[in-house]
Amino acid sequence: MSRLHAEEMVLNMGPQHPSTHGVLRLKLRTDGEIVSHIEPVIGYLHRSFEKHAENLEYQMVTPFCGRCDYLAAMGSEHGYAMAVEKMMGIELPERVEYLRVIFAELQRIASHLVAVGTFGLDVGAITPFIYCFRERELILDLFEMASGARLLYNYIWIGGLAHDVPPGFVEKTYEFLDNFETRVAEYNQILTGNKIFIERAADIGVMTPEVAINYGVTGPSLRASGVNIDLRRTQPYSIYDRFEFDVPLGEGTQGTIGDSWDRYYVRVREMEESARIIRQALDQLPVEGDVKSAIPRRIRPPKGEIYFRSENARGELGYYIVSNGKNVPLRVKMRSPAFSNLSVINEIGQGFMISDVIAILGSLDIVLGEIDR
Amino acid sequence: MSYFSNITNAVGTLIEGMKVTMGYFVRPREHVTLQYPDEVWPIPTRNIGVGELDAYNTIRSKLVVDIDDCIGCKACERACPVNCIHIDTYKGGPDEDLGTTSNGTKIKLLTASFIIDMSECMFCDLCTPPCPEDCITMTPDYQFISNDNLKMDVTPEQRWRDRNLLIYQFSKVSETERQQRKAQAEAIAKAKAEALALKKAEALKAAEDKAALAAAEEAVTAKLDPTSAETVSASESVSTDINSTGSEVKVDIPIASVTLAETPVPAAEPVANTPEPETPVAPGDDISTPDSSENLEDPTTKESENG
Amino acid sequence: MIQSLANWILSFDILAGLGNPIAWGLSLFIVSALIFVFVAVNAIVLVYIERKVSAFMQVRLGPMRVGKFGSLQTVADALKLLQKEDIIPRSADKILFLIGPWVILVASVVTFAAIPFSDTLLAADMSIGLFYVVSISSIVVLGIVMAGWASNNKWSLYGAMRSAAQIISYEIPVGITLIAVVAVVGSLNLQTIVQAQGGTGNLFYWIPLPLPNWFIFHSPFLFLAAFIYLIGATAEINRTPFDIPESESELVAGFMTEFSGLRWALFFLSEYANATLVAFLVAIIFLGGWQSPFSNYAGAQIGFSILTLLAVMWTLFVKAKTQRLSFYPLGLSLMITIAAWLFPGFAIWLASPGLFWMLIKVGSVIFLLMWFRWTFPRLRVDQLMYVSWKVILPISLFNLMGVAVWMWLTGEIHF
Repeated sequence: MSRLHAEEMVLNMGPQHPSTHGVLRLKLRTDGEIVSHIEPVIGYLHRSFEKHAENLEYQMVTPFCGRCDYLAAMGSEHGYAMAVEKMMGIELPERVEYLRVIFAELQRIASHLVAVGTFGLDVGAITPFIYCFRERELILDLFEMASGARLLYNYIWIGGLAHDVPPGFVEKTYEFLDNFETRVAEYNQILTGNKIFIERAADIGVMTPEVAINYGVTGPSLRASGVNIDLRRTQPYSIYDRFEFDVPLGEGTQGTIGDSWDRYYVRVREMEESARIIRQALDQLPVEGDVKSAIPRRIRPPKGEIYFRSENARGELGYYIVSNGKNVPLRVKMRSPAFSNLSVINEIGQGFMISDVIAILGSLDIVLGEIDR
Repeated sequence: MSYFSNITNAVGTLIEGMKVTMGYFVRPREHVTLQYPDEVWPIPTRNIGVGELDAYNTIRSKLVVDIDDCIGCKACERACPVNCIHIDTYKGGPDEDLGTTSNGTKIKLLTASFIIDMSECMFCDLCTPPCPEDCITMTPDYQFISNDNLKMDVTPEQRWRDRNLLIYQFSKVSETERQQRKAQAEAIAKAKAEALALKKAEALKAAEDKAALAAAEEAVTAKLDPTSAETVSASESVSTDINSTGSEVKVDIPIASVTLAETPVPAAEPVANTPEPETPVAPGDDISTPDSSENLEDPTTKESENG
Repeated sequence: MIQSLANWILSFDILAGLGNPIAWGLSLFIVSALIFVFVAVNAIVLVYIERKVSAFMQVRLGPMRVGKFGSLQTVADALKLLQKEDIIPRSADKILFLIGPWVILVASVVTFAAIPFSDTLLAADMSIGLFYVVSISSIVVLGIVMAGWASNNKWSLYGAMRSAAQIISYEIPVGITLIAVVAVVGSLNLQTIVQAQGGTGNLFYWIPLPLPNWFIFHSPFLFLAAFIYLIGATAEINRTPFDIPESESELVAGFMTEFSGLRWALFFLSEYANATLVAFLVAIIFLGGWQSPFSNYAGAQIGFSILTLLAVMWTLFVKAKTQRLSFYPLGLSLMITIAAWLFPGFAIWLASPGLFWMLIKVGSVIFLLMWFRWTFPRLRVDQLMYVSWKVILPISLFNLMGVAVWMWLTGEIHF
């Protein structure tokens, strides 16, 4: 019997589409439901980060860092601050380091909650999304308590923090952690173990370690492929070497190692590990210490350049800063993890259905503000 | 066999999920909804030691300036990454008393205009720490809606009022006084610049004379040296440079920053100026700032034509 | 007994004065208008309930501002939709685009003509009622394909194609499941099917547990068939987890993408009409329709007493597990039990068949559908086909055979 042959259709997914996580446009070449080629078209959410950074003083760049990856603003600010501090050789007070780790890990949980929730939304489960956002709101409450803002904080400054945490913050964080651990069990009950969800996510968009490394995929997406690279562990920055935590890797429990389900579940387990780190950091947090004592009066890093990378919620966030000795950086380049993570979608998404492409995109957890910068 | 275990597994896990949703369904009191205008989010309150305002806490919303304490140092204006603060200061007269701040500092500059454009503010809170007198603060007032905007008969032209309502003038100095001060300052600056220019011109003349003299001397020796001619031109260019910068001193810095700050404004433009596909807008219209009145009239006429 | 609503209207003296054909036409008009009003009001009420159910399941409150507890929210939404501009895309196939929603609406409304709301309240007493309902409700797919094709939008086309494939595949297991019931009753008349389920009997014929003679308790096969039918019907009406034709995270809004205003409201109306229809069919075919679960007033009293005991146990169980007290089920059942014991009239009313019981059953089934929708992720197209052809169809065929064997074992049929 001769095979029926139909013409391929080009389908524009986005820029206005419910599940492209922002304003991403995917040009799909489809044969019926099967997608044979995916071309991401980006640039609809350009933040002009580099141009801003060329014209602003070092401290003024900090709020723009958070605006790139708006779901993990604390992590972005943390990376930038550490890069400039390393250039200037600033020694930080202990309390600042611990608070920064607490905020970065809280932000990781908040970001992963969005990732997990929206992944559920992408495969059609609406309710877990709302549960995830409920917990995220509690984290944002903590951030609001400390920094005064709920989404874009400008809290981690070069050489310290904008201000100390208020009294009651530590207790409230403990309270959140106690609550959070039971909530994760609930997500597992409603979504992780759900047979339909497993069918939708397992064996879909399998990313082999080779592909992941070749495309520069980092973060949970890389670890889901079984590659044990977590900058907090392999190149401990800040004070991450003081904490005990596991690096969750994809194990292929429901399908192949590196499928969408693994990418989802690595995030779920990473949230638990982050909660562990926060608990340890809270236990060890020094009571005394001025968080502003190390903030330099004039931020003029010496001539030179630096590339500093840190493990943000989405992966390896790098800052390349060139200084000419003035108070305005010559260049600040951001190496955004989501950009590299998105680039792999054509490789791993070919041959799957439209619904699967949505699931793969959701499992890669991209933020368009960071991709376009 | 895996066929049947698959089916039982599916049914079992689906029932697990249904247990969770039913658990919440029978406990509707655990809801997290906040019915906004009736209930408001409890703002975490604490004084973080900035300023005397007890109400000030970490919530970063509307910027408020205690203008009586302002010494016009423009530290906040320089710290703002988006240039949404525009300050206009003028030196007081020699024996004019401008008062003292609550910290006891004597005010030497009259803040004639202190404009904060909250529609451009990005709430980064970088302007408050540099203030030496703690007079600029972020207040927890996040409700910017005013009743004026709720009127139903808002024309496209009036839509710009929404933005204008977000531009706060904190200075108590009246517009006429501001103009007076400006004229005064301009006159002083002009006089200074003229004096400077005169001085420069004299110096230039002297240099020219000297050069002419030297040239004459060199002509006498009938030897033309190109280096001397270069020095002449260099001195000329230096003098004109000084002239031009001197005249620019008179121009108020805030105005320059205003023009600079207006570049991000067109982001808000589509609200009023939705381009129609049938009648392409002239390219000049797109670039013009939203403050220009003829640009505002365009959408109204278009809408009335369509209607 | 009055056979149908139309006949009942015809029995009025005023109509008797008119000529026979005019009276007949008028009564038909009134009946169809009543059905349409029922469908419209039903959609408005159900949308509100669905919003509230989903909100409670998602730790939200849902609509709260329009009317008390937001009860007028859907009315306001309906009025808004009626006012909206009816946008027809320039490149759309205009005629198909215009009639598509109406085809869907008519197909879903007309089916209610054969539904017996109670022992006396039905529009048309058809001897082929079940066949009529199944066949007419599958016309919906025609409207969906029309709407999807006419929109000239790739997403709409995908939605329409998926919908066509889905509905046609699920027609088969659903039909076979229904045949199993028809085999037991020996009639396609829905009223006869309900009447066959009166009285009380043993569970699965042999287990001595006095339960109503509903078909869900008839045999293990029909018990399974009820769930098979529910799953298949959920797929047929495009609800989660089978809502792939309009899956909003993939196909924007599927075949409804280009529709707005009234036409979009029609899709909504027919969606809820279809959900109600399925609930009615489940209630009629498996849950005894308008039959009361109690055969007499003593049964009602004892039945509710047992229910109260169960509620007490449930409350204690919840208390032990979550340290929370929830009195809703206990309070409600206790109130009804006390009323049933105090007022025999109330108990007799509880034991008598009627619209009340029908609506209770329909409501429960609709709640189940909502519960599904707000819990499960969505299946993929090929998985949907897998479920239909490889899981549900074999089981329904097995059921059909099993029912026949069961009837031979219990002596209902002889060879």
